[in-house]
Formats: sequence, structure tokens, C-alpha cells
Amino acid sequence: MTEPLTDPVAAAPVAKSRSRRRRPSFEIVIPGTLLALIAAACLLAPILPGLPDPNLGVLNGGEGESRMGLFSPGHLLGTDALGRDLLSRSLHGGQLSIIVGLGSVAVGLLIGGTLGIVAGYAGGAVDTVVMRVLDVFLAFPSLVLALVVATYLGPSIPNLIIAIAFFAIPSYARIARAGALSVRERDFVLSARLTGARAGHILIRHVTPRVVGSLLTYGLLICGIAIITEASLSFLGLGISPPTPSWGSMMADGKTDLSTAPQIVLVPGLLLFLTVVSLNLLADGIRHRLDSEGSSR
Amino acid sequence: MLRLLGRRLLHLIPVTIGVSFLTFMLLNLLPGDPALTVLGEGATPEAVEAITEQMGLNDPVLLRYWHWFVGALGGDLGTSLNSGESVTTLLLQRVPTSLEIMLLAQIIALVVALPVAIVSVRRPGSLFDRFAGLTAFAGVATPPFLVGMLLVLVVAIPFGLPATGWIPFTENPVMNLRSAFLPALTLAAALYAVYMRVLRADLVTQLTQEEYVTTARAKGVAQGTIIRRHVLRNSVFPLITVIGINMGALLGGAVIVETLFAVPGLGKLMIDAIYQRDVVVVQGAVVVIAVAFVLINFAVDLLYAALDPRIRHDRASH
Repeated sequence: MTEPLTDPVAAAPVAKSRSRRRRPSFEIVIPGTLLALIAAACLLAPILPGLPDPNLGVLNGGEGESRMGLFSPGHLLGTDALGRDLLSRSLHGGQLSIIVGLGSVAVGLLIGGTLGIVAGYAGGAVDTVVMRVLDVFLAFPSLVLALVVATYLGPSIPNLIIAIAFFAIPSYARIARAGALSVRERDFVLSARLTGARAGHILIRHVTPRVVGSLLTYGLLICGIAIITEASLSFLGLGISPPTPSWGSMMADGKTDLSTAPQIVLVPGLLLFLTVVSLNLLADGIRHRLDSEGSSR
Repeated sequence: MLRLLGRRLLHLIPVTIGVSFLTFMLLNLLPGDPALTVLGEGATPEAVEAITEQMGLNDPVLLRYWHWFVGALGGDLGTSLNSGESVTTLLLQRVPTSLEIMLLAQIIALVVALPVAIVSVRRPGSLFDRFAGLTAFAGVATPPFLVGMLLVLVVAIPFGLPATGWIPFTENPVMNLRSAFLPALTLAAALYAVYMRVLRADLVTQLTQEEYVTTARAKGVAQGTIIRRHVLRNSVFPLITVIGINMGALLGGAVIVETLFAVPGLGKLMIDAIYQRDVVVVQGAVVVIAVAFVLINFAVDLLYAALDPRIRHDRASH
């Protein structure tokens, strides 16, 4: 039986290298914790005790009569106009935001990052062609591009991810290209080339590791924008199909009851806001950390 | 200057063609038959066949793009599948409304962001500075439709402002401004956040690093005067760049805000056309938005060169 996590010998070197590092600062810990809490609540929503089915409405009255206010029995935050539990729908809706946010960052980073690294390292005609084509994508306002692609592909989670990833590809490519350009002329790349290493090997072993850091930090910002874009598409009725809960479509539903039941808009709105703010703060914090580490070297 | 203009114009042409081509391809490969959109479901196969032939839908897609592109060059963007109206006419009716809202939003954002940034840097780290920083963070992290609904909650409902609807300027200028106020304010929130952060960061950098600031201080010039007379002028450049970059976000935001407040602008036209599968109108609207975005960034580059002699001469000497 092997349990590497509890093995003190295996854990020791990790602990040693940790203690040598500076302690994580508040600007990383606070948004990080908040994000972890929101993500845990959303992902664990299906098994949380006492949380009703998000799509099961309790009809007690006619159209619109089924809404329950805050702190109703069995529904902590009340229900929407169809009698569906607001807290449960908000947490389940968060799953979609997390999947689409992470998914579109992964897709955008993979495609954009690869294109940028290859273009920057290769230079010349390859560089010109790739960057010119990406300029075309950059010419679309991000939401308009996502709207057109989402309409074209139709509503499903993978399609949403692709539609939203589209707008991020050119930005990733630019960052990766800038990184690749700066590494290209460095001595270690030159010596790798002199020893006869193939281009693919140099790209993967030497160029990529030096670009990944800035790409991932930027990915946090893009994740926030992706979550907002998903909510915007759902708000416009072009996201995932109902009744699957999404923060955007929940807020669109609550629009008509805004003056009498603002919580239907405010609960998913607050979750969305906290998620995106945390992502931005985390990106800021990590960038500060990387900057100060870079300058102290 | 002229060479810079020429080179940027050359760059503009392939991007514009690429944008229109991409939009055309995406929309023309959409599932669903445009002939059915025109005739409605349940049309006879003969009628569908006739209209398909008449609209040239049997032609290869590249040929159709070519026809559309030639027409677009002459200002003809086709006719709406639903209403049969000219898309160019529809767009011309809607564009001024969107422009009014976006212009108002820019003005509101700048009018608020400038003084807030200036007061913030006079005492960095003060309570005001921190609070301003927080508002900027919040502005970036809140999607426009949420800002809009919050404004309806805290402004429109208590003060009895109209929450939806639009009154044209030609009908009643005062009521027009009233109906434009909330949509513009909504759009302005995110812009304010970006402008404030960029401006504050640039002011701080200049105040701490530039030697002309040290010189002015040594001469005994007051902090406020240094900011107003010297530093702010240089900060115009990053601000212009950011205004250009954010036009894209503004155009996207307009789509949402116009839908939320039922404002008959370009964005609302596009969304309604998407709902109705009116491909020709969507195409026209998207191309106009994208081309406008490209042109604005082109104008920003030119403005930059016109304002900063260093760029002008540096580029011209190559």
C-alpha cells in the first residue's frame, strides 16, 4: 500500500522548499480563499444537504404566484416566479460559469499560446500571416464575436466554450509571441540550436516554460471576462437552453420582478461579482509577486 | 505623417475584407434555410425553390460573398429577410441612437474619472484613494446588464425616471436626454473604471519618475499646478489609447444595454435579427460594428501621431 501524501520522507523536500519561500501575501490569500469557497459551494451543490432540486418548481398558486420571499421555510433565499429554489439555482448556475470560464481559458490558451509561440519563434512570413489573420479576430468586439459564433454553433456547453474562447485567442497569441521573441535570441536557445536540437524540442523545452507564467496570469483575467461573457450571452437568451440554470438567464428572468423581488437578480449577481472581482484581484496579486521576485533576483 | 497614414490605410483594407468575409461565412453556414425565413414555415416546396433561385442561394458561397461585397462597396447591404426593407436604411435609422448613448457614456465616464484620478494622486494611499480604487475594481467586475438593473433599482424606481423606452431627440430633446441617461450611465460605469485606473497609474508614474516634475517642484510650483499644467497633458496619450481599445467593449456593451432598456439602436437591431434568424440584417450590423471598431482604432493611431511629434518624426524617418 502506497500513500505518498502521508509519507514523511517524500513530503520533506516539498516542505523544505516551501519554508524558503516568502509567505503568501493577503492579496493572494483572500481572493484565492473566496474563489475556492465559491467554487466548492457550486461544485458540491448537488450533494449539499437540504438543497432542493434547482429545476423543480413548487407551484402553489397561479402564474407568478408561486414566488416565495427570503427566509421562506425550506427555501433560505426564497424562490423565483416558478417556485424554484433561488440558492440552489444560483449554486448550480455557478457550475456552468466555472466550466465555461476554465474551459474557454484552456482552449484559448492552448490555441492562442501555440500560435503565438510558433509565430514568434519562426518569425518572417509565418509570423506575418498568423498575426494578420488574428488581427481580423481582434477587429470584432468580443461580445459581438461570441454572439455570432454562439448563434452559428447553437446552444451547448462545448459550443459556448468555443464561442467565448474565440475572442481570447488573439490576445494570448500576442503575449506568447512577445515572450517567444524575447527568448529567441537568448544564449541558451542559441546553444540548443548549435547542439542540433530540433525546432519542436526547443519550442517545448526552452521557449514554452518561459512564456507559460505570463499566459496563466493573463488567463485569470480572461477567465473573469469569459464568465461575464457567458452571463451576457445567457442574459440575451443565447446561452445554454433553459431550464438549466445560469447566472445570466436567472438575472434575465428576475428583470420583470426587479422592484418587488430584487433578490432574484441580486443573488446570482453578487456571486458573479464576487467571482470576477476575486479573479481580478488574484491576477493583480500574482503579478505583483512575480514583479517583485523578478526585481529581487 | 503621410507615409504613416498610407501604411495604416493599407493595413486597414485586408482587415476590413477579412472581417466581412468571416462574418459572411459564419452566418451563411448557419443551419436553417433563409428562404424559409422569408416565406415562413409550411411554405410549398415549389415556392421555396423559386425564392431560393431568386435570392441566388443556389450559387456557391464564395460567389454569393462576392455579390454581397460588391453591393456593400456601393452602400447596398441587401434587404431584410423579414421586412423586406433595405438593410442600409435600417442601419442608418439605428446608428444615431447608439452613437448618442455611447457619446454620452464617454462624456460621463471622462467627467467622473478625471477629477477622481487627480484627487486620488494628490494623496496616494488616503481613504479617498482607496475608495476610488475599490470603485474601479467593482466597475470592471460588474457586467453591464447587472449595472443597469442596479441603476434601475437605486435611481429609476426611487426618482421616477423612465426605466425603459426611447424618445427620439427630434420629438422632444429633454425627454430624449432623460431616456438616454440610464443607458449611458450604465455603459459609463465600466469605462469610468478603466479610465480611472489608467489615468491614476500614469499620473503616479510621472509624478515619481519624471525629471521635469522634480524641476518644477524645485522651482516651488504647487502640486496641484504641476498636475494640471504638466503631468495631465502627458497623460492624455495613454488615455486616448485606452479610449480606442475600449470602443470594442463599448460596442458590445451597447448590445446589452439597448436590449435591457429597449433602446432602438444598432445593438437591439442586431439582437432582434439574431432572434428572427434574419441573416442579412445580422451581417450588415456586425460588419458595420467591426468596421467602425477598426476605423476608430485607426483614428486613435492618427490622433496619437498628430498630438505627439516624437512618434510622427520617428516613424517618418524610417
